[in-house]
Amino acid sequence: MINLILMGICLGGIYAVMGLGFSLIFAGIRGTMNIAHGALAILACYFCLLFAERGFDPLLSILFVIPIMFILGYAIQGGLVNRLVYGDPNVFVLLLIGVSVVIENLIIVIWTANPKTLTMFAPYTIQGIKIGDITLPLNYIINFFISVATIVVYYLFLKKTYWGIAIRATSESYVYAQLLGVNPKKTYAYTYGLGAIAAGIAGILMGLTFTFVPSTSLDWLTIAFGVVVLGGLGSLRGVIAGGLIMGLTVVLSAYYLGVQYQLFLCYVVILIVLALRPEGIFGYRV
Amino acid sequence: MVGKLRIVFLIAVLALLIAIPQVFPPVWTSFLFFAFIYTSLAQIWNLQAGFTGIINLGTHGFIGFAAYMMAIAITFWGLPVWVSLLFGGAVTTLLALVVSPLIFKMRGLYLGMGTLVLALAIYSWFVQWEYTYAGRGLYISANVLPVSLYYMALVIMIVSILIVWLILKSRIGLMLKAVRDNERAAEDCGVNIFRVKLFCYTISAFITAIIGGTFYLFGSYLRPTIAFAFTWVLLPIAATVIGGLGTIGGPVIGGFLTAALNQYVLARFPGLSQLVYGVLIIMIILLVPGGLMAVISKLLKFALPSINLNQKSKANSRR
Repeated sequence: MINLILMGICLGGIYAVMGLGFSLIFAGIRGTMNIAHGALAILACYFCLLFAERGFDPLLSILFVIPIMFILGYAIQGGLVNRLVYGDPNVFVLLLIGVSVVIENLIIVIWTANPKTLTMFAPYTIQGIKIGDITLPLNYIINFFISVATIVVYYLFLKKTYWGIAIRATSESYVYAQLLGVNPKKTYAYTYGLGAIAAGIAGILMGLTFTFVPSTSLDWLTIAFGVVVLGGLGSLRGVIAGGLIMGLTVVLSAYYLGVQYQLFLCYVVILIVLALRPEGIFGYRV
Repeated sequence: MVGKLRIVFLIAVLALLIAIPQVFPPVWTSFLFFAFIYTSLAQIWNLQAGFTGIINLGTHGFIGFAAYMMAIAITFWGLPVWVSLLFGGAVTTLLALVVSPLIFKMRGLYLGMGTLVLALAIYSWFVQWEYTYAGRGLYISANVLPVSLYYMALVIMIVSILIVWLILKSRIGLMLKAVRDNERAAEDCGVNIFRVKLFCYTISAFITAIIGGTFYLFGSYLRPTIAFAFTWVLLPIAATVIGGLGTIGGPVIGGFLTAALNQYVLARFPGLSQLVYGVLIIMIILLVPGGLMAVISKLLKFALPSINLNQKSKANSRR
């Protein structure tokens, strides 16, 4: 039981990072529902695969993938979405559906749709680690620590650096941010780039733990959305809480009801929370 | 004068479409079948997105659910085909009615994601439901002539266009547009947002269900990954965006165009079709926001109803 809860918490860490990027983009860029989040996460997995196949350790290649994801995110926001950024938010969704479909199908064209995993490139992660009388797979522990580190870095970035403060200012009001000398469009591009990095890190961690196919992106998008809905959009505390609830739901339902029900239950939980408390459990406006 | 000409033209087109299966080879019927299906799907999606502001990302949920319900009625209960089709439609409408109180608590983009989560929930149910053989899929034991399916699709298309046209003519159409343009202002003017959205959503659910049932009578084999394929969301979006969001003619043009693209260009390069649609969606949104209808109306110089595509700072969008 304790074992399960610990696994749920570890999984929740990844989910929190997945939700972090989604939440950042939603709060930072005028309520953009980032439909391409899952696609970005899965793309990062395939980039990581590219490095892993050339003999790099998957965990090490996260460092290579981070700049790629940032540039990609910056390009998507700066090149495409920024043209419409002051318009109707519904149109972004259509645009991002286009982006996500393009990414997903480029992956199918380049890497085929066969199931892949990153675990085989880091065989040491499968072994169990004994802490007292409980055994946890090493990859869950690694995932947890990387997730925590990511969340801390994001927190510090948003609080301390110029661009972090600019992102928060722009999310409050882009007009005032502009008056104070912040370039909103550039900030949006930075925000999306950061969101893409978070999606990428979460994606690689998921890829280290599970197998994936290009269409897994929809599941991951839903996880990101679910975390953010459970926790409340645009709040860091909410993202952590949402991730943990989600992780525990997945692990416990898989154990008690059977693996085949875990996704179904996850979606039902999201729908119920959406209906009962649309602003999330810790929801408040940024 | 113009009105009479238009009616004559429409009747001529209709007569042609009715005559086609008798005159032309079956390739034509199958192409037009797809075109009708895509057109009606796009029309219904456009009723939600272009006229009501519900970006429905869960079309595949209704399509798959209805197809499965129909298959259960035909294969397991032995009901007649058309009764089963209606049964699928009725159950799907019921589902839409039941979940709508949950879904319409959400506003704006939450709503779109809510519909997506709903569709994924239905999908993950059917993936593991042993009654319908879970992921292995089931055959629909129905012998329907392709010609009768062709006429069914034609009827669906005409009905969906007529419904959208009638709704837009009526008071409800005005309410829908008011909700789309500014939900809060509409509410202040006495529009019951919930009822308006519910109306639009259930009608869409019913027609989407019938479309799904008809389509899978044509295919006669169902598997969760096929029945709930994301293509069912992508196609109406692509068709509507290409043709022109928020117009009645747009989905028709878009539907026929996507069917033609599918059949004659992309069938030769499997795997590329979705990629092409993605690129088309991006390019049209960025370069020709009104879609092909905007281009045509510019060429022929007639005015289109306005839709907020690039309008700056709407009152109901966030700061």
